[in-house]
Amino acid sequence: MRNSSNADFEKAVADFQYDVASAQRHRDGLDRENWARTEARARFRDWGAARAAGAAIRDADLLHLERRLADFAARFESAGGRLHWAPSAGDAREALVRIAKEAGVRSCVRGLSSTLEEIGADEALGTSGVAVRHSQFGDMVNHLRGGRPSHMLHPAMHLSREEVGETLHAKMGSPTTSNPEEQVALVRKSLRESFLQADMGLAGASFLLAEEGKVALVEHEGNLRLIASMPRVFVVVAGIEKVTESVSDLPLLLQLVGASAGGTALPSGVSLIGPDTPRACGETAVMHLILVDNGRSLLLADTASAEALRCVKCGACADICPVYRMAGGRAYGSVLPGPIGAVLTRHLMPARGAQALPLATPLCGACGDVCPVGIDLHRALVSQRREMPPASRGWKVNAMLRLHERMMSSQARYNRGTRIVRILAVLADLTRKTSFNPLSDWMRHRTLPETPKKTFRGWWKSTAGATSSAARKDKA
Amino acid sequence: MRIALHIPCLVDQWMPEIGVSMLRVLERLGHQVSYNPEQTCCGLPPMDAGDRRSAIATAQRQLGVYGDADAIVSASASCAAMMRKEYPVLFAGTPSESAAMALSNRTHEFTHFLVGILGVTDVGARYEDTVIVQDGCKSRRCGCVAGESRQLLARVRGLKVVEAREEGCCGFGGPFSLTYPALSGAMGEARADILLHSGANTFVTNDPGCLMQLRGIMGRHAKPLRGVHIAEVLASV
Repeated sequence: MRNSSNADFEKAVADFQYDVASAQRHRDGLDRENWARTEARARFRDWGAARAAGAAIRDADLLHLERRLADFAARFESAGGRLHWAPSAGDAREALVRIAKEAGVRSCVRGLSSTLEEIGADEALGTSGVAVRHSQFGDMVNHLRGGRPSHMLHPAMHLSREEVGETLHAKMGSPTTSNPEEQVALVRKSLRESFLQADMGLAGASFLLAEEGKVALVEHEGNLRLIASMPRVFVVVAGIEKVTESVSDLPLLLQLVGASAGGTALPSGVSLIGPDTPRACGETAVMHLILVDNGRSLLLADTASAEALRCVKCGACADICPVYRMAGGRAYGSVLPGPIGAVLTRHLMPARGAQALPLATPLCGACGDVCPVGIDLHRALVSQRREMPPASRGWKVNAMLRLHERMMSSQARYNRGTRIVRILAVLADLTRKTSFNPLSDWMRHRTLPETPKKTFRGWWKSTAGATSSAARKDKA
Repeated sequence: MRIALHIPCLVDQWMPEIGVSMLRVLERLGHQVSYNPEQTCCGLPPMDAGDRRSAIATAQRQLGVYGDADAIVSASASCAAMMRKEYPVLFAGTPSESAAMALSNRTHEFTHFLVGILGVTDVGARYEDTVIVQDGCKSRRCGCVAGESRQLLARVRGLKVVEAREEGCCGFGGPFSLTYPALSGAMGEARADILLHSGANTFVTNDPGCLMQLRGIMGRHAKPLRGVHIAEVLASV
């Protein structure tokens, strides 16, 4: 398991920081994202009201999930779509492979989607002999390099334009260039061929519209529209939580996504596509939808964390997170990094490690404050910690907790305990460079506070006889 | 107003001057201030570590130690957030639910109490220094929504307040700093550098946890920035 222990996470952070230039690009990228987002929020007449309304829409969707899904399924199927229910990631992979086999699919072009990563779509198709091409620019570059994504929406944000140029040169035989415009032109040309040749288009969905039986594809490049309309088979893989009541919810949800994902008034590309939407590939086109549960129903039953399923995958909580800023995305071992990743990955992708991730946060709460649908990520993270095996906290925290509980249970125990702690602090300081001091890691980065002569309660007791504030001031 | 002090264990044991300063400010404003040494810990460390049972056991004690004071004022944004925001959830459906609600409603973080409850921004303080605000991140969870610290500091004579290029976390996070000592330390160093580059001599905070973390980091790396609790600035005349 990747990153299953706390030490591994710290090691991954240290490795990430070791490449100074890459870590700096990551931070610069986050700064750009956060600034754009701040400005976009300021353009709302009332951002707080908008996000509350967005949260209400998503909560109603989750509350009426069964009905919404039933409505969606009825409309989608009556329009000629083929629906596949997948209780687990394995079921979703099976459905995907079955669709590909039945249609004789040899090649596939896909969009950026955390749900496709969650179910392991690439591996499943690859072992069935289907060639998979990634269309999103950063996703494609990462895929060519065999690297993992560092950001939810900009998977190659940690790479320099020179590194991108070298990769395109080495893997696609294109002339070496560090000019982004030339790079995009090269890739566009080669991608257009893929869109024409591929048997299957594969994408995630941002929303499923229950009343219309259509999927809403949100993107920044325009490739999803081609994926949906060119190949003769079109498959969408979506989590069950993506369903929303109707197209009339979209204006607000898309404004929230636009502001929070790219700092724009609206996302740059939105397509509403149903099984009966006319497509470039002609009459024979078939649209499939694989609806994935994979732990979502269980998460929905967990009252403190269920609202994490409101998530619209904008990436704002990660961009603002001080841990993600230090760690980069790859340390999380998941396509969903940052706070929302720490909550969702454990439920949706338990095999990817990440069991300890909810511990990797100082609970500053910046994530919940920035969330466009008001997910209380602070509470969700604490709730995740509660469900984890106590051993995952490490023995130091567990020892501290046992001592703490006993010490805080009465005034007498508190007084005795704190006297001992004050002595231990002196010892800890003297032995801070030795390995048997359990606080040596902690003290490598910090000094302990100086021990004052008197505690506050000691001072209060010595001035308790003085009733007037003036007398107390004199004694202080 | 009859005010009961909540003095977090960190303040009691290591930074008693914060408690004394709070007492002075509140008494200067004409309030009757009490302190009950029966109080121990609010239960935040076990809560944050995910040990709910231990958090309840520790928090239970808090419910009975503040008597009938009109307000409970805390020297820590983190503790205030715990008592205000988490107690009602923690004790929901238990026999202590109403006591927890009552405590939650009466508990205030120090700056929020001054500005939001008393409506005071000028406490008559004088403090010659150039400072930067580094409030606890939990401020946003304990009712501080109006830049209370900056409002109070703006009325302190002799004081110049500078701003950093962005707000940010000191990386302490209680149990987090024990589980991830290096990561927490690196986050603290990054924050310390931002504060240092602001041109301030001193950072001012409403949270003893941030104070301990950043003072400790400045100390270990010999960085020339002092740290004080906002009560110490406001108590100075």
